[in-house]
Amino acid sequence: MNPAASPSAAPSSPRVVLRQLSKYFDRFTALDRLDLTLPPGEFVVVLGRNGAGKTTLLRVLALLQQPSEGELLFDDRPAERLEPAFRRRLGFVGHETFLYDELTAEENLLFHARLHGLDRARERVREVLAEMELEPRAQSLARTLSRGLKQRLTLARAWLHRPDLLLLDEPATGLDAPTRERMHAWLAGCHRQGRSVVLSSHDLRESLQPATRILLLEDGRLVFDGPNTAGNQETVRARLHGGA
Amino acid sequence: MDTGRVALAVFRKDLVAERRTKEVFTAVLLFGFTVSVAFTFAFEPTSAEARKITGGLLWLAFLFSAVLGLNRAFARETSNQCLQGLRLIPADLGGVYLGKLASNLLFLLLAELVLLPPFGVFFDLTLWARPGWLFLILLLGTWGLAALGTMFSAVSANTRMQELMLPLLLLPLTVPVLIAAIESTVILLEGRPMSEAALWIKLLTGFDIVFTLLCWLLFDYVIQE
Amino acid sequence: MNESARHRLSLALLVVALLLIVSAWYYAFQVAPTERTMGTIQRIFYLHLPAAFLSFLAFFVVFVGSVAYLTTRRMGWDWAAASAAEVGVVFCAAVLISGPLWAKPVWGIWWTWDARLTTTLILFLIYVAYLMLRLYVTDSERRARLAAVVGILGFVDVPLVYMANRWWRTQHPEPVIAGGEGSGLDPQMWWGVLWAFAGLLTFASLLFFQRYRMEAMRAELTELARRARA
Repeated sequence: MNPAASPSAAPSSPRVVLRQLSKYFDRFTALDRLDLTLPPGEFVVVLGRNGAGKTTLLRVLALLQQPSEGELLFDDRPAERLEPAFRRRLGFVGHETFLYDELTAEENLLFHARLHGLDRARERVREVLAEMELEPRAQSLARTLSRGLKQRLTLARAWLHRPDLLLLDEPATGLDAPTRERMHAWLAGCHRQGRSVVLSSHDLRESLQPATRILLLEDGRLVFDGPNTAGNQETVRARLHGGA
Repeated sequence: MDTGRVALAVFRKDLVAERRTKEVFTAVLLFGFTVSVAFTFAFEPTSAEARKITGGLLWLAFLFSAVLGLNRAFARETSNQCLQGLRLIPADLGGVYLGKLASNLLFLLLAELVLLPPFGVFFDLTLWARPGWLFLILLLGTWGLAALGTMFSAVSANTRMQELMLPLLLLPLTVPVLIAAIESTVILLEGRPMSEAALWIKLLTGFDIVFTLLCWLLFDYVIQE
Repeated sequence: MNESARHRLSLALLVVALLLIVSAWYYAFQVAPTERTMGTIQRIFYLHLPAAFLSFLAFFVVFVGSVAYLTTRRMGWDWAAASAAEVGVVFCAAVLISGPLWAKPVWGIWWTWDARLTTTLILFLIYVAYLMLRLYVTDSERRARLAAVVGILGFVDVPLVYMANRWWRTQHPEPVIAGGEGSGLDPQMWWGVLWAFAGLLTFASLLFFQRYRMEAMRAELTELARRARA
């Protein structure tokens, strides 16, 4: 699996800023006054236990959820004032696959390609199927695919429009080790091309190798934010396993 | 235009899925058939009196089976959170509503057309005297049901009592459609001149246009998080 | 406005409402002339008509609140819509109960399908669907959004329901409860109607404000609970 280089100019990933950003669901605080600045071209791994707020953070970044308080800025522009076309620059992989069970892998991708208004949709779909090594199963119905294949297909869907910022919520769950490694290698490749990647995980067995930055969320609060060094990895590891 | 592109993509996708599974069409057809049979036990389908109520019975059968069909059609979008996935596209979501309205309308109409001959047999009706008018009434009436039905199935999908909310919302609000469609159908079946139905046809058209536009504008609010 | 001032205002409203209603009652039964053909039962009209008007007014408030919520996203508008809907459903029920009570002695049947009464029945069903929707959505933001959409669609629907029923009525005529569209009203009766309307309006406003306050307090409680857990 190797991400094809962009035919056009190098991707320009956006600069993302969160200022005192909070998200509530009635009595539950999912995100608590986050302050975060992500320069373009970062590979960020967001760590935290279950319920720490990783999913909410990624959904807010993907513009799927509106913050209750605070600001979210992309290239210094407030998120709520961004035009719908901006979403072209984002790619999101969530817990749910967003796949139609009764459609084949190819049909699923073709649908999303058309929605995105991509030129030569069929060609692009075939390209991505090849990149993700899904060609042998292109005509299989989505519901017949294994978990690993579904995940690759979901990744393919997010990659179709060559986004500048990839947001992935625990993408490695349920995947076997070799598949996980290939996915991480692929993401590293995207990062090398100049894209930003934000990836969440609750599992420290994941290779943190390609990451440039580590974040740790605890009960909706950002308790650690630093570059990916061995020392920082240790600190985070201790905090995650030891408890505050 | 973005909206047109999105609507067309959604429509085509629904066609592919339905051609493969035939879920919605079969559900509407079978349920409509069962309801029609039940009606023959409840009402004596003889004499001129019957003309008046069969118009009503026909549309009741359509209404009940439409509720079933709409629920089924929308279930495709809620599994795997597909509808949320649609919010990632770089376009506004009104097109999704229009696409789903078009596919729902198509499947409901097809099922209704297949349902007509057996219904005519049960109640001894001559349905095909004025097929053009019949089709027009069917189209306008079903459009009204589908316009609000597509919207409300999206609304209901967000609640705890999905299957209950759709009919609860749809039935009262489509009363104008029912009245207009039933009255026009009765006029048609009784062999009266269709000029008598002019007002009803106008009401149906007005209803369809107003609510399609309104639902198109409001759809975005329903699927936000 | 602080708590005690609010209490005193509510109490004052209640007193005014009761005074108006009791005096309207007196007017309806003692002062107003007896209707020529229908007799004493017609006096229920003094409840029936103002209640009908109030239920439509309440639905209009639901509409305004719904539009305002979607444009401003301020929860206060959602509280207003919810409160108006509950008040409206109560008055709708009053219309639907007083209608048959009137119809039976006068025409011998419990229900006549005249356009206005039927529209009120459909309006009642729309309100009930709206309130049930609110009941079955747990998240407050989602509830406000979905209810607003239904509130708008429902309100736009009401004139269409009325038209459909009117035209249907001209095809299938039957007795009309409030004397039809063209019939006039004795000026003395008009006074009774206005007086009753004033009383019911005051009472409705009281209910509305109490309910609104309840929603505001619930939101405050949720906010406090959230802060406490953080």
